[in-house]
Amino acid sequence: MIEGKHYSARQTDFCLAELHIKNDSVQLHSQGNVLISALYHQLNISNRLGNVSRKVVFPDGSVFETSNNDAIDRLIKDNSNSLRFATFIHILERNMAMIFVSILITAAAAFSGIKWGVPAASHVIAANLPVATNKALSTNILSFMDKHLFTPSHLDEKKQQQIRQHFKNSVIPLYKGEQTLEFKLHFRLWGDDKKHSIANALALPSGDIFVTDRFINLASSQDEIDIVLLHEMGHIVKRHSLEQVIEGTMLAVVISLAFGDLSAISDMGVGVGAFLISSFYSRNHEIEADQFAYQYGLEAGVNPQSLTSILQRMEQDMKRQFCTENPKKKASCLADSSTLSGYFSSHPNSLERANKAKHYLDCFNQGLKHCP
Amino acid sequence: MNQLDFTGKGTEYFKIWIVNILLTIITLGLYLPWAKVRTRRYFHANTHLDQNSFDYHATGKQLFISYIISVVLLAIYVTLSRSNPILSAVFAGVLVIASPWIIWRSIKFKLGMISYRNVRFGFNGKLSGSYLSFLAYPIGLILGFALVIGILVTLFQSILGGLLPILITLIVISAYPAFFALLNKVTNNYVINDASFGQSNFSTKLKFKPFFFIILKGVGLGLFITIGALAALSLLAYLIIGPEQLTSLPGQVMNMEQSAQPSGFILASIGLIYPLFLVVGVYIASYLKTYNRAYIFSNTRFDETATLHSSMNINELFRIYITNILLMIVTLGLAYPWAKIRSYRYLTETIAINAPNGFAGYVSQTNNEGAIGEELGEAFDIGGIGF
Repeated sequence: MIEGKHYSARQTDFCLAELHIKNDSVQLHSQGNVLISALYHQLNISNRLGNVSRKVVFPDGSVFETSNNDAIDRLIKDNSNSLRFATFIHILERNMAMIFVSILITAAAAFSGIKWGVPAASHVIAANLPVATNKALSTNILSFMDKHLFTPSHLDEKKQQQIRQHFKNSVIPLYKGEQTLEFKLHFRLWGDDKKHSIANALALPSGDIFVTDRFINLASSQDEIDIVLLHEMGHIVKRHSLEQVIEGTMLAVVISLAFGDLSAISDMGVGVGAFLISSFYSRNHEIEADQFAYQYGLEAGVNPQSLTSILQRMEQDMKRQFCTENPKKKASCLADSSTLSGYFSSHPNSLERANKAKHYLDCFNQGLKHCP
Repeated sequence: MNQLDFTGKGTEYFKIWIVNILLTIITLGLYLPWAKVRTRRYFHANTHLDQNSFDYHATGKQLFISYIISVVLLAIYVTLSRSNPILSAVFAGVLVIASPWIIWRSIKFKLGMISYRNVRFGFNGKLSGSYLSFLAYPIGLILGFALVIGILVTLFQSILGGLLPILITLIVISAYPAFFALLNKVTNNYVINDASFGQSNFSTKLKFKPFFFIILKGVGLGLFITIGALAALSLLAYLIIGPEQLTSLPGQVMNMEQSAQPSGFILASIGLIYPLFLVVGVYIASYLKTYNRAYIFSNTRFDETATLHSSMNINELFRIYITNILLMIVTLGLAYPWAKIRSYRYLTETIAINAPNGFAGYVSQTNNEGAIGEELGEAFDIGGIGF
């Protein structure tokens, strides 16, 4: 006997009732009277879900509702597939070991999906998009940067011409892949005046590469300029900007699937995690661009060491500029800026990056043109 | 006066959630509709009014059809945007034009799938009403506004000169709250006035002004806190590092992405400003939610005699949201079910209904089965596994 409520078909009206089971037939009693009787296979029983109350629908559309879930489970002797599946899910949900396994599998899937799945998928998608998409990404950026970041270069016109010529004749031809790509070199001053300017090189997906005056001045050899330009070419060839956009989109979709609509605002907490993940992705891109630069640089006899040394010098320069303006605490300023920030920067002197550099340096020292 | 009561438990929901995710992963996403159904049923069936529960009746199969349709449409869109920009723009335009129809279907389906005491809710709104409130109003308002600005520019350009851009910015900023208030009014009137339970209807008469003042106050308060906090932060920065370095900050921030490492100071300020905006954003959202709901409820009747009340408190809602965010961060998202249960519990248990005639005697108007095809409205609902 199971106690519960009996609702008339499609109505809010109900009375307290008891369900009696005898072999293949069930009877609903209320205050000693038989309300309704039916055969077991005529009933429609709702699936078990936590401790939510169960509903048994009778052929006439009336509904028996009870919170005695276990009794209903005992009543079920049906072997229909859908019921078996529902029972299976409930067993999963009740079994602590299964829950533990679920957590592990979910965590492993999330981890490997984020670490390998998303980058691999965006790599494939980015590689298959037409060149036009890549160009479209950079149309407005160029004019924006010229308007808000850069001022015209103060470099000697002759020097510019010479670097451009060398880039065109000796660096670009190293890459023999996609011929539709057009690399173009631009010189700019980043900052208000020569004294306080930023040393940097950056690439747009369209093939435009920007180098700042300060970077050219900091570079102590042709090798250093060449390898940085190759690094930027690597970003363009590997379509890193596009991959970044796709990775961001995929991450957003995955997050919204798992966390649903926790209310848009709480998603901002998730946003912190997304930021950390995307900085991990851009770290990967840096490593890939490094490798590109080393590989093609090696063919032209560019010393792999030059990338490490120019990057370090740029970093030092940045710190020195920032800290000289604060002479009182210069020493502590120099020390301070290298600790915490290392974890967040997308250009970290990570172990992996250093290992790559050493690997290629070994090949270079042996006079190899290709590094296995 | 009957208060809603929620009996869902974090641990119980956690198990349902984790199994949902597991099966969704294993089936490569195909299980998602069934996961959705289990989640929704869990929340509805654990919500009680007057010791009787609500229920959710959609089946995984019903949602699966719409799920497949939305995936196919998405695939078409992605392929088009890859190969043919003109066709993909046309496709997007068609979707915009179809969106009121989709919303209309979706409201019908969602309400029709919810029951209380064995009787279904329903929605009898006309399609034209959906086009009016979800397409004609927003687009009409934006076009009309652009027209007014255009006239202003041509008429007063010579008189005002340099002041004109400032004036236009001010007008646009002040028009924003009015825009959302008007949409709030129109859409809520449309949905509530055509919602039903059994044979009886909900009714409401919402006005523009209260919505407008709620938005104005909420956003104003948020701006006030933000400006105050930013001023305090800038002062602090000025005292610590001096004016010269402050001017070099933008360059340094830009440079973060590139070769140099950012200084500890920049990280510290980002670390302070991001949470500040987060907290202010949550506060504004809590404010709008609390007061909009209170206003809508106080003006809504069911079956002419029953009234609705919201006892939601903004500080309490804000506290729950903020602690939920912290909980999610600390547990790397694993506390999601508890966070969800907490906020859902507060949102439901602050609803009270005063029904002098009780809830007996209501009869479902539909055949307890949604009309075929109505589930299509769910097609663009990508709410995920979460409730």
